[in-house]
Amino acid sequence: MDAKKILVVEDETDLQSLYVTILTGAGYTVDTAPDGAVAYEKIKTGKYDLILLDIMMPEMDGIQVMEKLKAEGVADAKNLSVVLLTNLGQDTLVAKALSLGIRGYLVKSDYTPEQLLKEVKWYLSA
Amino acid sequence: MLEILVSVVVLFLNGTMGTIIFLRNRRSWTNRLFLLLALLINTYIIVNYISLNPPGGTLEEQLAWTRLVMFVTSFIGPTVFLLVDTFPREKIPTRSVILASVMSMGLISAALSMTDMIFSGIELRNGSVVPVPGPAILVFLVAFVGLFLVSFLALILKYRRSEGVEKAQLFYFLIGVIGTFSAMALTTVIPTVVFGYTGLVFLGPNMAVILLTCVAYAIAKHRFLDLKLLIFRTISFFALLATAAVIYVSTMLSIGSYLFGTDLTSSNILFFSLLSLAVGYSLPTVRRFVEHITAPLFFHNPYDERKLLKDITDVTTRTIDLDRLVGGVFRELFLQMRITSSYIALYEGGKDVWRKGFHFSDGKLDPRELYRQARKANKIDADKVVMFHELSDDSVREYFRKFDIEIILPLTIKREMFGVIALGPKASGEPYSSRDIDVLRIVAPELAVGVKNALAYEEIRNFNETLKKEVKTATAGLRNANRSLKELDARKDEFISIASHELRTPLTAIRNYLWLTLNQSNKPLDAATRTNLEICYHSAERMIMMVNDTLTISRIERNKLELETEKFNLVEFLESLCEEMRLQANEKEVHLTFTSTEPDIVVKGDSAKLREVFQNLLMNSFKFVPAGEGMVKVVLTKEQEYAVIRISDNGPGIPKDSQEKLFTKFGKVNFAYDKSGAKAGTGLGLYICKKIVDLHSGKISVQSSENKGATFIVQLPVHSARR
Repeated sequence: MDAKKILVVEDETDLQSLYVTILTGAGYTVDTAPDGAVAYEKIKTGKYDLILLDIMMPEMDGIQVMEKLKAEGVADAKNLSVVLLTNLGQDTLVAKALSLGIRGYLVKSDYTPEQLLKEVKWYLSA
Repeated sequence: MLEILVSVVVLFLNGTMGTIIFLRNRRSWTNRLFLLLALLINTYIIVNYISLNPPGGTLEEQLAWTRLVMFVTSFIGPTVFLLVDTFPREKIPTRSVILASVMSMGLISAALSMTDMIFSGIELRNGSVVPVPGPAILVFLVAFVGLFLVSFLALILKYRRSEGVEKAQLFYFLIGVIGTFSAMALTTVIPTVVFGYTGLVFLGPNMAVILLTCVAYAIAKHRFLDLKLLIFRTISFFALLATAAVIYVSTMLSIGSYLFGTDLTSSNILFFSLLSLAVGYSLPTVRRFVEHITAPLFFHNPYDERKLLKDITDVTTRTIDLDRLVGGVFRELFLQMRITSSYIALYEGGKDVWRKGFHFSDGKLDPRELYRQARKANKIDADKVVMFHELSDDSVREYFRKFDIEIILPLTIKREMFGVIALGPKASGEPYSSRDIDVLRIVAPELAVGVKNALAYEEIRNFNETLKKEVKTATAGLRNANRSLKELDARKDEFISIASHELRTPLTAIRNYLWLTLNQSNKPLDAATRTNLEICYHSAERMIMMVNDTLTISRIERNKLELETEKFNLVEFLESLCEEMRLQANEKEVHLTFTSTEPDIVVKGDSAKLREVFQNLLMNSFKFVPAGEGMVKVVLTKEQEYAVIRISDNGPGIPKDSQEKLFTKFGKVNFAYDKSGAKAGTGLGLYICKKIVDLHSGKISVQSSENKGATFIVQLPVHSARR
């Protein structure tokens, strides 16, 4: 079976490596981006089954990445499946991201690795 | 002789009544017309008497007197008419056409009377003198009889239309008219025509006294007592005067007849007595008039003290503004007492409060120096007046002269002096008379009271202004404070938000790596390490919970906790929630069950927040149930309009005294600290639950007794299509 490809966009290296560990451990192909700008380039050129996108990042934040992708039609063309990874919880920024077409959001601190995997699995299957 | 006596009495009565009524109110046209009527009637009586008893005895003479009678009579009709028309008002009703026609009627009739148009001649017929009517006799009849009749009708009409006092007054007028005519009929027409007796004819004209008496009474009716007193006084005065006149005239005539051989006849005595009566009676009035005319020639400041004081009282009682009050009072003094300059200074506790000069020669007058000089004069305390020409101290005199001050008056209230008035010389250049001083002594305290009132008023007004300003300043201060507080609050919220977010990132790493270590380590951990790491893991979990709660509370306090409502099936919702929670229940070896009495119950609410509520409640239950044999039951029922969720456990229960504050902020159950150590939460969980349930218009409560477990009950309104 083809391993599903996931892009983890996370500026905190500790968390980035955590998600890489968890996801690769579960058998997924994982690519990473340390900030919004790199993420934007990778999304434009690459192909991902799921994108886990942080909001608060240097250079370009998650919202800006989404806005840009949407403005250039990339989001629609690639039929992107984006899930917000955040610690902001119920926030105006999250609400805004939801309006930009993301599929959902996960509050980082609330999930154990086991729960996270369950969520990822659900998003990939749905 | 009887004829003359009666006529004299009538003449006197008529004259007196006319004068009294006129003097009561000179400006009233009713009173003026009344006097005119009285005088006309008197003249008529006199002329009529002479025409009947002509001194010369010739027919020509008699004709002339008769014409004079007609002349006088011509005016009676118009006067009566005007009196009726005006009565009882002060002004003649302005109807120029009527006025002009009535007056011209009288004038034409009077003018014609003196020609042969009305009486062409006179002749003796059967021994009596009869005037021959001329062609214009009709004019006279219209002017006299016609106007009389019109007046009578007008009077009746007016009486019927009037009301109240006026009706009563008109009633007396009517009585007078009717009385007069009746009396005339009784004395002239009836005896002459019926009995052929003419002995009473001479009384006829005198009967007008009835009319005049009645009208006089009517005019004065509303001040009846006043009139009675006046009449009584006048009669006594006149009687005294008459006695004196008779004695005086008799004495004079006696001396005259003795010295010059003048005739001492009774008619002479009567004539001169009447003359002196008239002179004596009118002398006071004449004297006053002469005084009034000549006063400006002999006195330099003829002013009416009463008028001046009245005008000043008008100013002091009607003015509250200090400037206008002082200006007004000085204005009256300038205009009436004819002073040339004035100065006023007010002080309080030795301090200048206010001062103002009018035409004062030197504006540099120092009020302090003025008081000092005044005190030096040793007279200025209480109500003493300092006058220049009474000063003995040379230096004070010098000071007064320097500023051209004639007089200084203190302004005092309750013997406390709070200001002075300085007055310059009078326009006439003469010193102030004792009369002026008396007036000023009355003016000063009056002005003092007025000034005090004005000062008090000003003080209140100033106080109001100050108060307004201060309130404004305070309000502005509060507004600023409020703004900075709001800014501060916003910054605090921002801080909490960022801090929480920043805290959560490392906590996520700690928690997750601990989890990986505990659950996916290749090497088995030794028991002690495992326990230690588990404590670390749970502590990290607690810390994340606290951060979450802090964020939620911060939102609640900012009223920013908004619901994103949707309709959903509460049965499915709770079923899946319990399924999720079963994972953790299993971890904690808790037996979790869910049952519903209904297949589906739809509610409208924020499912994410409600999830938080039930998660919180379940986690609480998991914490407190006994290890290994924990039982948590979730039961959903529908009771009336509410979906009721009961979460029961078999934990230690909650003591009664703790139940009340369970849902308040930091309202944790007391024993949690001692017994459950690591299980302790932030104490915010239930508070948040209650807030969220409240937002859903629901209720949350607890039922428990110690050692018998606890049941948390959440009630949420059922969504009905009707609503």
